[in-house]
Amino acid sequence: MSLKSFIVTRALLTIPTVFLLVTIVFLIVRVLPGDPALLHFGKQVNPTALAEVRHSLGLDVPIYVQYYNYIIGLFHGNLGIAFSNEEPVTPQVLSAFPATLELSIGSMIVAVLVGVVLGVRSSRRYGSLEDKIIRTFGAVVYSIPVFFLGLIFIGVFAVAFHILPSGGRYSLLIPIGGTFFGVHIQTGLYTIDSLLAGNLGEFVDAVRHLILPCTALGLYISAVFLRITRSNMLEALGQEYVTAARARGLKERTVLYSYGLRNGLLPVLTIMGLEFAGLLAGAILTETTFAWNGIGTYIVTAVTDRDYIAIQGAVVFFGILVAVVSLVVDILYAYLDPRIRY
Amino acid sequence: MSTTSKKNTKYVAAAVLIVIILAGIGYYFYQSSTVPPAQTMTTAMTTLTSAPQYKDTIVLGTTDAVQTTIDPADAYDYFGINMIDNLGAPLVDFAPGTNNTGPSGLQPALATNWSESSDGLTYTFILRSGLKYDDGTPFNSTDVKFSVERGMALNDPNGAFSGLGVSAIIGSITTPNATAVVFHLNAPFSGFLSMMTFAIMYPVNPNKVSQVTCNPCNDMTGIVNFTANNAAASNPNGLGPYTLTTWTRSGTKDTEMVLTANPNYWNYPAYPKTQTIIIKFYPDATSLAAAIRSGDVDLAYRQFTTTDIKSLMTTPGLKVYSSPGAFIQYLVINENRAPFNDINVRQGIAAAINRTDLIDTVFAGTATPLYSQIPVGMAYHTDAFETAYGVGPDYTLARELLAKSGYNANNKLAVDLWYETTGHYPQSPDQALVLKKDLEASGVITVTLNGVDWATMHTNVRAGSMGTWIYGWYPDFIDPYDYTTPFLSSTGASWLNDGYNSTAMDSLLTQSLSATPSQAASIYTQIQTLQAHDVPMVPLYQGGSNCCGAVAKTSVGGVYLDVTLIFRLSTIYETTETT
Repeated sequence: MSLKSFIVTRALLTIPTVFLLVTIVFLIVRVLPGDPALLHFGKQVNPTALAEVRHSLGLDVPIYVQYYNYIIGLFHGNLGIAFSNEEPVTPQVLSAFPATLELSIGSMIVAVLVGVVLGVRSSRRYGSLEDKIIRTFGAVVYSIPVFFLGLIFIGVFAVAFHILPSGGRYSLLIPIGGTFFGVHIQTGLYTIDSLLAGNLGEFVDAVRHLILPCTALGLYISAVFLRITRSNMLEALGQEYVTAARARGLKERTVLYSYGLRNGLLPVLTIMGLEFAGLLAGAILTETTFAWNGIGTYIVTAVTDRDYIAIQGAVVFFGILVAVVSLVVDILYAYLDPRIRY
Repeated sequence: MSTTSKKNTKYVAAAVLIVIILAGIGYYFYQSSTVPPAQTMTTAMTTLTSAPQYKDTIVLGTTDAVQTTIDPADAYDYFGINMIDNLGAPLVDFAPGTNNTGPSGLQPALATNWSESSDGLTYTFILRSGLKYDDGTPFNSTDVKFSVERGMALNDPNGAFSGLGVSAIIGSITTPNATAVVFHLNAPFSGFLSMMTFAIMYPVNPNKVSQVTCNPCNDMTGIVNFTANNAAASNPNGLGPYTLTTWTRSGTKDTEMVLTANPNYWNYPAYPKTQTIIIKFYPDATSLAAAIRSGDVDLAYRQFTTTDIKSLMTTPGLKVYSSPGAFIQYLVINENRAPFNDINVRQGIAAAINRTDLIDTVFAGTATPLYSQIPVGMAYHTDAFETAYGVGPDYTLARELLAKSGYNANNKLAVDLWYETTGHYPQSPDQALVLKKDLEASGVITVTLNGVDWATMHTNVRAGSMGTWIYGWYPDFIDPYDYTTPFLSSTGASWLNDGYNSTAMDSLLTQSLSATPSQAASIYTQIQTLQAHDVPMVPLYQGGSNCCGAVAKTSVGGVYLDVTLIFRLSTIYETTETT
């Protein structure tokens, strides 16, 4: 199979995956007990008003009609109207996304750095005390729930020593980006926006707020990278071409990174794609712990409000995102390792 | 193993050890909160100065958020209403920290004088002249008329105008001149002046809202909603101590609000005390507590858990403010379901309630026991349930009452007790557990607990499928009307679906609407006494730090928590050393 055929096949397979995801999410949120229309009412419920709300929310039609309407809306980029505040879900999700993206990128950087560096060291010192300590470290950080690790970090670095903020994404005023050639650019990524504004103080503030949540979430995920890197490095370092490289008198550093790590990192690439989905689950807990208003917090709020459409919207958005990331990673993998296509 | 690798191993081991030790120390301090936060030093320095200055900026943290809008014609959530309180102004107001919420407790705000006609049908307000909105638009009496008529015309079925039936209360509004506005009521309504202090009656800026041509309207297109990146367009108020300069949201969650002093406020420059208030929003009580402990915020308001409150009470450098606020919780008893249609059963439950245990166990003693539907601190409150059943629990009385209906140790009364589990009310599951324990301590009652989420709770209330349930009430406005008619009227309390229908009670409630203050005292006493006899619901507690408390650095002052439940930002300040 050529690379082009592989990409087409893989892309087509993404469609039923997303469709299945949308259907499952749609059905699950509707088997939950309780009437979301009642959440519109504070203390008193007027039956006529209740009927109007049901109608405006599209709840007064059979479930298959609701499903049809939803699918049609999706094709138009419309994730529906949130029950809780009667506003479109799409802009809500998009406004929450930069926070989660920034958290995810930061966490992934921590995870890859810690995981790969420790994985390489562990494999290099196979069987030694250092190897055992690193493996223990991996087991410990993976077994500690993210929110608990987050609470410990807050307790140590924010409450006890006042080194870093306890939560949120900024201290005082939100970075608003910058204007270039008459065009205002605001990404919602505060590190980027503060740089666009040319405000180094804001940038440092944004980074300070990123450190604890990204470290908590990143350490958790780093355990996976650590193990994968270690096992693949061990396998790579045992290959004949590594022995041959050493026999030719190449420096150990060159053998390790050019021969061992380059081959050992390929599976890590795949794991990065998979762990992106894991970041969502982790983000829900991390965002709540660190008062980080991203999609994780959005989902928690939507679940509390029994807001079917908001839950659907956020999960479908992330589902599509994960599917696309997986697709890109698979294609990248196929590009880097031609054997994958056969 | 080489020397280098040995050295590296030591470094790694040492690093891991340091992290573990730091984590342990930090977690210990985090739990016990015995480390004095940095603000203690600030306080110490402040006390040395003789002429403290106020800081320009205060950062406020909260777990609340605006549910939909801060348009008085549509807002009906606690925080949205509270924002209107700080961004707008009423014609008349109660003084911060007041204990007098009767008509004599009212003081001037936008209006300097007001009067009521002898038949109770006409109220005339004389407004201050020369006032302007925060954008410079002149304010006059036509704005008051326009704002109230707009709210009545839009009459959002989910909003306060509809919920309170304002259209049924107010017949018409006239403006004899630019500083006089006259409200003509359809019938006497003794709570009218109190209603005028409620945020929905605050005038809006006519330049910020579109003209409403329909009446009644079929949609809410005239409502001012949140507009991303445009705080001014999101805020139709403008007569209050603050103006809204920033309002950002991520998803449906508010992330930041910035309020700056409004130089056009009628009481400026006396108020506000602080030039800028930055409001930061937290997802839960734990992160809010961490924020106030770490000094990320200067002041935190709503909501905390009891564990946090207990810990914060002993944290140096912080002060906990408890509220005697008008938030109440009560146990509804459904007379539509047997055996609760039996008055002996309802009275027996009332006698077996242990409010002291509930408040001490669940709310660390910060709440106030409630023996009437009308909260303590409000006009005409009497401890009717205490008079009827004692402080409680009176298990002897409970057993006697239940024995009349055949219940005893061998034939216990089975009570199904429902509560919500999604945090709509503070610590409902804990409340339910304590109530169960204390009711069962009577020896003649057995309780089955049923926890459901808020949406299911709503559904069950409408279906009438629950025997008893824990419910709560945030006031619309501070008047006994708002605590009696919505609960005890055979028509006004239909939302509760608890089957209570008393001709005598309906008659008293009708009389209360047109009562003079001296008549009202007697009528409301009769209403509360009759409720304690009929027991359609049992009042449990009011206020408390969990629902309505605040925690602030000790350098912060001017925090007034009173029965109105209005969190007034204009009085708050933080002292700093003299420069």
